[in-house]
Amino acid sequence: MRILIRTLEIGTTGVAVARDRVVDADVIGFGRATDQHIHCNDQRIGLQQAKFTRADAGLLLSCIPPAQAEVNGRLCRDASLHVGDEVSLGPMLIKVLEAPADFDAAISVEHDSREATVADDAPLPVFATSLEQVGWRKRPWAWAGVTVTLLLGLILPWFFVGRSDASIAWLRASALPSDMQWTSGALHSAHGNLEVKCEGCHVQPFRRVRNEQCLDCHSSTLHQHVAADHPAAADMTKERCTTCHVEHDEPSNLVQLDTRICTDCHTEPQNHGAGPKIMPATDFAAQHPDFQVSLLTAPDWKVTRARLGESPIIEKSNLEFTHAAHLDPRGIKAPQGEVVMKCADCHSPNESGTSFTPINMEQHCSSCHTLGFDPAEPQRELPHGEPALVMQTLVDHYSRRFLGGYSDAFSPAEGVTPPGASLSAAARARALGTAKQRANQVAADIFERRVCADCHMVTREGTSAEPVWQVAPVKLTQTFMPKARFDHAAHATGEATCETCHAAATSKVASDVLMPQIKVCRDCHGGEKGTEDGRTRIASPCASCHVYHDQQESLWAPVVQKVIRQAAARQ
Amino acid sequence: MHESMLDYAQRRYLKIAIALCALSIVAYAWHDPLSPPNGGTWLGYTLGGIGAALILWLTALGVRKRSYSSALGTLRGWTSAHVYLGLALIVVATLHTGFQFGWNLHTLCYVLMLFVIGSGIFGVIVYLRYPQAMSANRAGTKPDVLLEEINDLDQRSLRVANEMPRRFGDVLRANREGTRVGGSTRAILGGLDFSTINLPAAGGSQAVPNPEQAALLDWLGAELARSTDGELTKRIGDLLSVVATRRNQLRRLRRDAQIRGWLEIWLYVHVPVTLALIGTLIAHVVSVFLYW
Repeated sequence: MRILIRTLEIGTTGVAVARDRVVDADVIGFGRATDQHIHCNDQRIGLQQAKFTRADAGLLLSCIPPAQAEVNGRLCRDASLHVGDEVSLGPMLIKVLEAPADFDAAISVEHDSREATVADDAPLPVFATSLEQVGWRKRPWAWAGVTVTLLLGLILPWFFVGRSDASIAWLRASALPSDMQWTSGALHSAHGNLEVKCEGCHVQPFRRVRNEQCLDCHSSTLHQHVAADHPAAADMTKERCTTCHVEHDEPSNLVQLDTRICTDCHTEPQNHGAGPKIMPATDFAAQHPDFQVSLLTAPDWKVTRARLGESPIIEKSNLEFTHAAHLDPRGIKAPQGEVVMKCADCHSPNESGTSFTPINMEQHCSSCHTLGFDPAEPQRELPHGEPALVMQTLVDHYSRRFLGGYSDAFSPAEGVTPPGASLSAAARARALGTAKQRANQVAADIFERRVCADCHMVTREGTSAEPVWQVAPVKLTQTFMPKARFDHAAHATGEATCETCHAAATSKVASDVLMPQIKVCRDCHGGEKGTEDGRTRIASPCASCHVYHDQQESLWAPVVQKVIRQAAARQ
Repeated sequence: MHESMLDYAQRRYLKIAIALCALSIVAYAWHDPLSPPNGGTWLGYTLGGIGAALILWLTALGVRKRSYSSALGTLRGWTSAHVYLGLALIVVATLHTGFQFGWNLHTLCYVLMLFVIGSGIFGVIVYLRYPQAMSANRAGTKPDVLLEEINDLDQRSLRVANEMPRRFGDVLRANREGTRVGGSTRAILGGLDFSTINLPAAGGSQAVPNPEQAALLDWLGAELARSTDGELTKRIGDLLSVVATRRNQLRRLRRDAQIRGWLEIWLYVHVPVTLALIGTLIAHVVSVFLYW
């Protein structure tokens, strides 16, 4: 269709100016897009708000939803337009004019004057559509966040730290956050007394905890790993306690179980000043020397060390003893009759259960090995110990009997004074002489055949009239492996018996050393992880058996160190 | 095609973040300190240093964002790095802790960090989802234009009401006064309509809730049903049409506010908690060496 579009604009002079355009198109578009025939640069208007097409009797208006037009004061979306009709489209007023000749239609486009006049001048309420408009703020909260955390988390406790003990104690007791919030984990229960006493260890701000703080409490009980004259000693004094003993950690491991603290040196011990006899040890399962035992050895009772498994080891304790006989499953003859003995009859656990109380005659042997000597007075026993005392007891006993009458079935035929008789000095001397003879006779029997010789090595000295017996002293090794810790109670699992580790039932002589070799332990105990060689065993790091701080090496007090340093400087 | 900040530079920062995580995990697995893993071993200090540096650098995005003239890379690059390295911080910081947690300042620092990262993840999700929904809702227009349109519709309906009995103009003006968009956090984020309208009632007028212009549309519907005057009936019909359009535009306005609300809300957590984190981080670092 051919249409005339007359645009009315108020020019700069204030006079309305009309400009005519002729458009040939089937559809006349109205909208904000620049390709629209009737262009209206207003944000409220769609890119194409409406369109005009030809109709039989004039024009047809169609609005693009949701747009609507006001046609002659009525709202509508589609309308058939006739000459004289007024269409209000947003800010524009479009009037349908009489079409000139050769034109199918004509319209005028002008600004809607009503736009300027509002029907109601009350403004819309102001809508609070953003979070900031309803009171949300970042900046004050950000400032508050950084201020509060710094103040409560750092500045306040710091202010009190280093002041008097009373003031920091007050802060810790108060509801305010104190330096307790800085603790990164609980202390080991052994250090529970320090839990609320940070300054006990953290003496100086920004300085690491020093060994002196540990030694404040531990100097009297702590021992060094090696002797002060050991070549590695100097390096060891440089170590900080906290290298191994880390506090505030989870899980709390005040005792360092890591094998590396040992293998650092003990893989190649000679490179770290160890003597030629020290063998390398890296892991209980993989590389560990055979056990050594410490033996008390007669006659001078020096401690000798011997390695198990190398050659038969003989313990020289001067005791005559056989485990095999005592553990005879058929029983052993005793005053009470036949007795089947168990290990625990003699080896009774100590209080902690880790080891055993020392063996002694009175407690462990005397119930069977009675020291009675006179069948007439079976309850009368000899003292155990000094042979001289034994002799004295025998002489006393028989003197009393020979002087005071001897009226029972065991009475010997001669030399006995009848009961109640008064003796001359000569008769008395004769009776005592007989008693002495008798005592010697009994003593020889007891020392050499019946009682003492069962267990002891006895030698006879003196004259035949005045015999003297010597009993070789007995000392039993109480701790065969002093360099390792072993807990018998921990091994009482029910599966292991004494025999599992100690071959006592077949030991026929006292000189046998019944300590197990390392291979016995390895049946159950693995190395650090316990999973070596494709087997799962009990994880056994070094610290399972060994302690780092050797009980025999005293702590090098700072004074001692100073002396060593001075001596080194002089050389 | 639009490239999301997550895809920036062939995901360069994603690769860097994955490399950082992988390196940290491998180092952690390899590292076998005498004590249980914790922040005080050499690896602990290293991871802690990287973590603290990351936190400060990630915070610097807030500064870079405001500096339009900066030559230090594009804002999109920064944001991409911020997202990926922020996520990597979870791995770095967790390994720094050695999985040792407790009721103390150090764990508070870690929790605040997780809170910041968590709110950031929320932010990324809304940034990926909502801008499209926002464009679709706006359909090429803008909130202030929508407001103008609503104003226009009101003027138009009032012009129509000028030719009608007085009560129509009164009700339309009451509707204009009682219309609400947003107004509270709940209304904004929930996209809720707490509009009211004063409707004629026996012995005066009564304020009733008018969500989605429902009360007004009902009232006009009732008037329409009662009307016997043909001209009045037509004009009521016109009003119904305008009010329905008005309702639609208000709905878009509300939806727009809702989307913008969700796009912003996380930042009101992210930014202040970040600053609280920095305060706690300083306290954490200083206190650890104060009580070394």
